[in-house]
Amino acid sequence: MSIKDSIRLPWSPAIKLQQLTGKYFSQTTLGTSILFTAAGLVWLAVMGLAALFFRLILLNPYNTEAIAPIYYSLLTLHGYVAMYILVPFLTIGIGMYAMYKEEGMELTHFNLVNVLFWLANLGMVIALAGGPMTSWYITPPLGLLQTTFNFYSGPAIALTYIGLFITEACITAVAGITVFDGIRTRRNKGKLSIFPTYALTFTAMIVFTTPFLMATLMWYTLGILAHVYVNPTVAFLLFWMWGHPVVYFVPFAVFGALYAYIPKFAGRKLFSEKWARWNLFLLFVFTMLVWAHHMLVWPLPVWIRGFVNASTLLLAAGSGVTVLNLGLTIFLAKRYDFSDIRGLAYFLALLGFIIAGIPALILPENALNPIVHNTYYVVGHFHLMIWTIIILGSMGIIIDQFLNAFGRIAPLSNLSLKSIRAGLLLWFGSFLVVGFAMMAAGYQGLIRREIAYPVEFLPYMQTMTIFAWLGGIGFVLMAVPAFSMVTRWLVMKYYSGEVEQ
Amino acid sequence: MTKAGLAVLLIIFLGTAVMAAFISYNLIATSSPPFRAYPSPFSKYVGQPLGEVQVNQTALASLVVSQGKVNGTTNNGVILYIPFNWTLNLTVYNKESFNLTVIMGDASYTVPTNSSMLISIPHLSEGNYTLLISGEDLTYQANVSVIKDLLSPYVYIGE
Repeated sequence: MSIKDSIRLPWSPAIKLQQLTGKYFSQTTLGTSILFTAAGLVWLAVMGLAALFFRLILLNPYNTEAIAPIYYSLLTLHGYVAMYILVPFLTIGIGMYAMYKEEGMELTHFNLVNVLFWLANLGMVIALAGGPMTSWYITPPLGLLQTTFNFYSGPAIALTYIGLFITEACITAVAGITVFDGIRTRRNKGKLSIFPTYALTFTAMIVFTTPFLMATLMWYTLGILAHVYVNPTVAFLLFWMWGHPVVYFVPFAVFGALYAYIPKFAGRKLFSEKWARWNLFLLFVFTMLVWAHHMLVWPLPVWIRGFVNASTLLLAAGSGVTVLNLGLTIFLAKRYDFSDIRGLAYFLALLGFIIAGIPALILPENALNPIVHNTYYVVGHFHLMIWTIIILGSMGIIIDQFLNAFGRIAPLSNLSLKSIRAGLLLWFGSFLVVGFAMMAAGYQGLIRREIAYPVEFLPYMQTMTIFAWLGGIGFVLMAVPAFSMVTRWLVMKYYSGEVEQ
Repeated sequence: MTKAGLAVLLIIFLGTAVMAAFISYNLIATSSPPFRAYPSPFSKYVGQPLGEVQVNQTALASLVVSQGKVNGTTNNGVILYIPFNWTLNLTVYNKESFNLTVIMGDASYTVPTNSSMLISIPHLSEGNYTLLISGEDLTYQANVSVIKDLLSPYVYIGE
């Protein structure tokens, strides 16, 4: 008996903790990647439901202030969850999965990553707990109006900022740990495969950009609690230095999956791997040089306007190279395997990215931006991006992840496969209609984030609402088989004693 | 060759062409001289599409006075540029316990305590107008909306 054993107490907190973490914390890279993507799906369901309900509110063009608190609470929940937690969770989950699947790279700090995961969720819950008072108003642009800042500045608002800060700090740490552990455990020599190259690059981007948001949040907190002066312009710049790159975290990580798997479903090599690898630099650098295009109605000097106009178009060229590379890969193939639901998901993600990206070309043009600035045109564009490259692209990866993790002992039935296929198509078709209805209404002047609007826009709002609900049904058609797969896996593994091969 | 691949390539190229046409149309419609069917005062604004764009949105400005200064301005005044023949709708909310005096151009208005007033000045000449607001305590909020010819029958109220 060692000295250590001889002094062991009958009940030691350290041992108890070890037992608990061993039982409840994910201790594998694949499991931890699923923890993040599955949590992303749960948050997606929460924020999607919020959107479906506030779309019902928007069916009335004569809404008054009475309904505003509910509408803005739902809108806040929708936007906060999407930007602050869903996007980074999906990126990190995809990053972990890519490095594990393609290169056998592993996480090693499981307990720390699990603790940070739960803290990130807790921070988000704290941020949302304030309800309508801690509304969308507290972040730029509305959070920078002096009137808003004067009105929304109680301790509850500071708590919201602190909640968001906790979430973002945990996310930044997990992203850093993922990349660090991955690089440390890499055994293969030579070039990193294309999927983890993209996925880990944009997981690393979380580490580069999120501190800007954390600085903004802390500054606001100090502004409220310690009356530190908040300079609106600097705060706005800091916010968008995170706020623009964040929209690329998932799409560009998904690009890696498209580069890796579209050729497989097309049965030929990628048209040009060289293009794909060089393009990474363009995408990585220019992602961080375009944020000022969100400020085109601000009194910016001409040289900044010229710079962001050009840099945004260069970034768009990078995206163009990507879709052309993938389009040529499919075009030059003998056939494309649509029978595999992952193949279908990746194809729809690619198609959606093109359809969503092209209408955005008007947005960075300085002379034309005021026509559509802050209208539903912008909302339609970025939601189409989210619905296709972000959600459908992630879906392809998540299906692959689930099949890898659960498929051996709980394979998808034919009915489940049909349900997911129908869900993918219904989701894509419905949200295509919603996106274009939004853009058409926005071009005609429908301003975003308002509860009352001119009655001539009612048909557009009705179209958006009906098709958004149809898209929601599409999500259910995909989620039910996934949920039943996990449930069956749990039952088989833990209750029937089934062992994985 | 696959039809799906052909469709993707067609969408890339045709889509970009359509968007290029859409952008060109908007550029011409908003800034090309032949489409400026405006009275003579506007001839001096060649190259400045402001005021010559077909505006189908509500323009709004949110103004705040705090400690004797209007946000972002000096001398308690805000300069509003009004294009030719536009209607200015200025909604002032007075939630204070005293009356506010609003001076817009040459006219003066009194907004009683705990009330709001819509000051509507139709068919304005093009130019800069100074908006001044004064009271015993200059903490209040004003929302301004500018609607061309009152094309849309709504006035923006709120944040």
